[in-house]
Amino acid sequence: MSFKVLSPGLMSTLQDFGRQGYQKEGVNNSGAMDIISLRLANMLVGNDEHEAALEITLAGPTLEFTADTLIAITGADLSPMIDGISVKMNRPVAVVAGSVLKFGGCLKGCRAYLSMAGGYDVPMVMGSKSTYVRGSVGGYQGRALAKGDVLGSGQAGSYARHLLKYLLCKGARSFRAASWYVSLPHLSGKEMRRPIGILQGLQMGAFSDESLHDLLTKQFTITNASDRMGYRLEGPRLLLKEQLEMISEIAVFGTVQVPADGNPIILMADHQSIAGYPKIAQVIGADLPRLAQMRPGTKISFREVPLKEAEEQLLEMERYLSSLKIALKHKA
Amino acid sequence: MISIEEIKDLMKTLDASSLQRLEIKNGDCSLTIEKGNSGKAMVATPSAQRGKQEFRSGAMVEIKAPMVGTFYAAADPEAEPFVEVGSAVNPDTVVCVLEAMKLFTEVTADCGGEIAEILVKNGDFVEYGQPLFKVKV
Amino acid sequence: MENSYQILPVSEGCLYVKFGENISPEINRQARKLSNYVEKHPFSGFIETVVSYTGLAVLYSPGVVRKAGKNKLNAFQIVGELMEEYLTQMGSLPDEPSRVVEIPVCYGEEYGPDLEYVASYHGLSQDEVVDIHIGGEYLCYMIGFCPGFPYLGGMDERIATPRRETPRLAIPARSIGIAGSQTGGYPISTPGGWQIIGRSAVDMYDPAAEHPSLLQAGDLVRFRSISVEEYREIRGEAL
Repeated sequence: MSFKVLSPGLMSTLQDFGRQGYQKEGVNNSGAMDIISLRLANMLVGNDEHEAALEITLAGPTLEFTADTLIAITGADLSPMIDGISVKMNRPVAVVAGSVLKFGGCLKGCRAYLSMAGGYDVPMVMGSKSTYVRGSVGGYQGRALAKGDVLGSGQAGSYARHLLKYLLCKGARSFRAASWYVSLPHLSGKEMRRPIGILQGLQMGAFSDESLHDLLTKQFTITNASDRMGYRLEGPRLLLKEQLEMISEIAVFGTVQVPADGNPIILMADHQSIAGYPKIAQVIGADLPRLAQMRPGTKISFREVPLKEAEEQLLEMERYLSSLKIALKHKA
Repeated sequence: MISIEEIKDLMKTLDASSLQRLEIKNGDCSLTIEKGNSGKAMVATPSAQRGKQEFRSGAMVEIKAPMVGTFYAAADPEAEPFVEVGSAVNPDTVVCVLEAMKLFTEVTADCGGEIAEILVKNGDFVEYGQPLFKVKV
Repeated sequence: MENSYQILPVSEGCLYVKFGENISPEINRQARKLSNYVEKHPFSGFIETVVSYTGLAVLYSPGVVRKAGKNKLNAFQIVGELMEEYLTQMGSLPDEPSRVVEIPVCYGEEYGPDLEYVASYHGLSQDEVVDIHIGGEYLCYMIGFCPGFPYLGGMDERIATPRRETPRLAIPARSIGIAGSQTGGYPISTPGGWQIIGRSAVDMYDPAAEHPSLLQAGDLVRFRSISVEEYREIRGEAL
């Protein structure tokens, strides 16, 4: 299974669960922005969940398949088409060699995930295939895809091989999609409009009462200066009670820090492990996948959540993914 | 006129031969005998088992559930229903989805015509073979 | 010695053991000691530790931690209690010795374009600035910001210089510099506003190495001044 990059799109990088255990070397986690979509994309083609998928941002690449390939596209609806025909998402799709996958307008969400049965055949760097562009680490040669790149897969499992054969033998000029699919509830309109859950940040108490009130009642806009490192927000300025000599401390995916100008930044997948600004809040883990699907221009609001509830929501997400995994095993 | 006995003989002969189809014209009477699809391997999925059906024009035909599951009229809660009463369908038109174990299976009409009646509600649990739609072909 | 600390939740999968409110070798020593102890006694669900100025972050998978704790408490409580046990247990243990790491640096001219500015800012000669810089022994508090990037403490105030007004778009990899009272080096090329006074002849970050970062928290760093010829020899470049 393989494809060639005819045009790279805005920002297409290989991402998996991320690099763990190397923050003491200054090499941060990276990894998929929307971990749910990544995991489902892998499950649909019979891959281990931890395999890498191609994370496609807003404007997608043009890829020519150079072999019969079983793929799945999950996450944002970026209008995928193969040889001009619309491809349904969230299900396995058998693609005939020579066909060309293109993406059109961004209809919903921000990041799509393209998995390939057998996973992507790129070397593991520090235990992960995730791309950390700034450090030129991992993924495809430590960078986003470029024109001319060729990506091959590892050995696909028997489920994928049989499914590919079955779908293609039903007759396909360019591709054939399975007639069944999974649902990604975190991407529904209702879910995307819900306030983002937050825990208290380490320096929350240092902020003024008015700013804390604004944080929990007003709306903030995700600005254009938002990327895999962080989402820069615009809205009411969040101010400290008094000047604070901030000392660099730990930051994780979802930490909300506030520089001197009062405009909060939500640290995302490519964040650095050490942050020098006061931390007002922490986005709960269960809400990071849908936050990752919110485009610049989206207005968000926050809701405080107790740690216990945040943990419960995270475990609920795991239970959902586990039950889907079982269901897909039965499909095989 | 060809007799019933002759027709039966012709059928046996055709069956035993490698021919797929036999057409006989006798004056203004013509008879066509065609073999069923025995070449392809049977694939054990519900939609394949249902196969294509031919109907007399004007007849009412039922679309039955190919599996157990929860019936949904639309792809997701915020989408428009796949079909409504009066919608034109062809064999490949997706008319609903059935959900089981969090997997959604698209159900196709497998016939051509117009939706005359929707027999179940969104969220109903349906059994294998339960009629879901009435289609006027 | 009083060992006071706070255990604070950061996220569902991270807690912070805070030893103090300022930058001090003593706080750093405690953070590093706990880090070593946790790494030697990993618990079910443990992922990694990160040393910062004021304490130690412990990262874990909440689902796995909960399962191991038979779902009786939330992950923060389980790991928090364990950290308290560890702090007690490790109290009597000796500290791990610090490594002394010497970094050969070619100062000035093409490798240190801001050395002249730093010198004139303080009314010193370039040689005097270099002498002061190589005379220090710097504690590496932590690695962060970018791969291999060390946060070094203890720089002489006599050469402390504010950041450049206009940051450079790309500082060459291995550049050694000064920003305020901080000194350190850029292992990889990145934009930045530091005053660049020299370049290290050795790699500070190698993704293929078992330990990709040359330095680690707790190292005592010394700089050694080398000539352009020696620099090029070490780098394997033509003279």
